[in-house]
Amino acid sequence: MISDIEFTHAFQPIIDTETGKIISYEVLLRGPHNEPPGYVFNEVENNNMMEFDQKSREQAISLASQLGLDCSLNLNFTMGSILFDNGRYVEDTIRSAEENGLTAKQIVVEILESEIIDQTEDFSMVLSKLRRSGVTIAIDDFGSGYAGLNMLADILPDLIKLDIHLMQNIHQDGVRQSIVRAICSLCFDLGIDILAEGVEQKEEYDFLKKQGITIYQGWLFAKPGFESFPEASFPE
Amino acid sequence: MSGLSHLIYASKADNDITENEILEILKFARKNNEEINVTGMLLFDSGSFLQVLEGEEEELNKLFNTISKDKRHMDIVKIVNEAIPERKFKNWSMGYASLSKSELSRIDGMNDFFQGSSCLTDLDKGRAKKILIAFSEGRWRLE
Repeated sequence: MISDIEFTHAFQPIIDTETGKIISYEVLLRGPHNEPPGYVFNEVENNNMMEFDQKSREQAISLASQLGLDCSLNLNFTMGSILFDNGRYVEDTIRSAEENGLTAKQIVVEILESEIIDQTEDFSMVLSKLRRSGVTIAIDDFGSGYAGLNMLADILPDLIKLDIHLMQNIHQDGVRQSIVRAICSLCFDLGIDILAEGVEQKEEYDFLKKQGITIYQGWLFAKPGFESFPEASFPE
Repeated sequence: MSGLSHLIYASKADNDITENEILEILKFARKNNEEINVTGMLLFDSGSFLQVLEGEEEELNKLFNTISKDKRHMDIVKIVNEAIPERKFKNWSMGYASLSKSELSRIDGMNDFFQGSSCLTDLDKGRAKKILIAFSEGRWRLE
């Protein structure tokens, strides 16, 4: 039974170095004593996954609202749940946000790049409808190698989150640098924001900053806060 | 089903285009757009145009079709055509700004967008703003 599963959330800051502000928190699933997501997912039966996922988002929104959220909230959607019933779970999520005193504009919908690959047309249609509600569309793990760049033409997200593996030691890796430079140029042309995720070293940050990236998430700036909104440190 | 959308394109001005012709384009656009409830913004710099059009999807596609046939510009490249939640230029049937420091910017009504209360940095965040900034920094110039 979903109602028997105990879970809660942690929040990790997403910062904008241009304004020096936290612009959003990503919601991360946790067990009741800060156990990792796998601990909770073990309790969920496969056929209940989308329903549990929705319950988890609604509980996270309620907690974020109680904590006094005054920026955006990045929410993940489990495989299949964005396309399900023509975007119903996203609409329910928006409704839940509004019931908790938040707005659709504060909601960032994160879609895995790997999920889009075979279904770009379906995503394009559903996202077009959802976009009119004011939510921000983000592609998670961008550049992890599943989808080609032409996927951007169909989806045209507001934001991409660069894949963590692209960031690792990027200051020493010419191939990764080249990929990131190309993505930056493309995104700048098309009005897509770029978020560098999983940045852990100052040297990585220095390279990314030079490419014009201003939005970051990672331990270098702030670790996730268990049931709380942690402060972030802004590098020079 | 139709709904609110924006369409953003870049083009190259005809080499012989005069300041008067740009004024005429604007005058016509403002009158016409008001009738079909289209709003937006036109940027001009060193022979390149970037235009943002906002309105009902079907109206926009018809209008873009007409615009594409206009002989006063060429190499028309559609950058974005997508659904939007709200208008960013709702008070502008067609705002205009010239980025070139030419005579144009001194003519009345020609640089209204940046002279009014709004300017690029005041614009609500969103794709239109980001692409306008990219253009003002030298992107989307069609050689």
